Amino acid sequence: MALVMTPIYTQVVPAGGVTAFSFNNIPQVYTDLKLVASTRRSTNAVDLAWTFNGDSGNNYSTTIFFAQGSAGLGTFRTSNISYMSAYQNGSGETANTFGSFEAIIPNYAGSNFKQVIIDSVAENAASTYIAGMNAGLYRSTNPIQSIQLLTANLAQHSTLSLYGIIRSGA
Amino acid sequence: MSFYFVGNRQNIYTTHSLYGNGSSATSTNEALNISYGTLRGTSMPNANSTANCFAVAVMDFLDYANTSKNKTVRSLWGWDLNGSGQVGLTSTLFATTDAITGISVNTSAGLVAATGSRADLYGITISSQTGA
Repeated sequence: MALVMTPIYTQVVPAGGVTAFSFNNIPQVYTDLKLVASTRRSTNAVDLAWTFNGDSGNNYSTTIFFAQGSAGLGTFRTSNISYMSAYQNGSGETANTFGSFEAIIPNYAGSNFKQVIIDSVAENAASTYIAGMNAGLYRSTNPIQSIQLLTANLAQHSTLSLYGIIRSGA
Repeated sequence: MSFYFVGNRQNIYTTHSLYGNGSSATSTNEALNISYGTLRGTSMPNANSTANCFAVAVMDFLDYANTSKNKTVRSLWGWDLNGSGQVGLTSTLFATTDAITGISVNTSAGLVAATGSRADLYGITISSQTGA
């Protein structure tokens, strides 16, 4: 049976939480990357942010379509920022509840700019929550060799996994 | 379409949706603290819809066996009938740390899933390498 999606790295946040971590030395043998996260912050914030290749320059931009349950919906764009981001649960949401997130990074090892497509939710047993779909751009022609999670105060049991996807015929 | 986890029909399922129908976008609480999750079940293609058309949904149950976390289900779904359609992102909170041991998928009351409907369950493993 052909392997179409291979787990590359997984990190599980231990007791006490962590403030940041990285996926380093990403193999350059796959076609696309998929980043999957089930995370929660121990502070009242719902963002999950990261950079590629340790690049903290203003080389990122994103277009977001989001909803907040009874609080409505909207769309916005941010340009020339220094990170990529998605939604996750914070301490303001239902206890023991973690966000659900995935990002697809096609052609991560190529020499074009990197487009990222993301969908993420921060669930809550109430009429408000937040979910969004993002299209993100990383304006670098360098292959993605590492991912640095910037978000502080990730709660215990948060998990992040990186998968490699190989196209047919590769 | 609705679903619940086998062994637990308590009122601990909360579902929210973001969806569009080609002319407008909607943010909604599908239901708060009821006994099942839902995916816009009342508006999927049915016997009165264009023939041979089926809705599509991909649902992710991350850390489904972890007994320290409530379960958040993230679903991308949609259907198009050449004249109408919907596409959306739905999330459902299953507010218990119980492991998911079974999933029941259901149509609306009184309706029967048409021939050709199917549901497939896949398992995705993690890596033993951290990359730290």
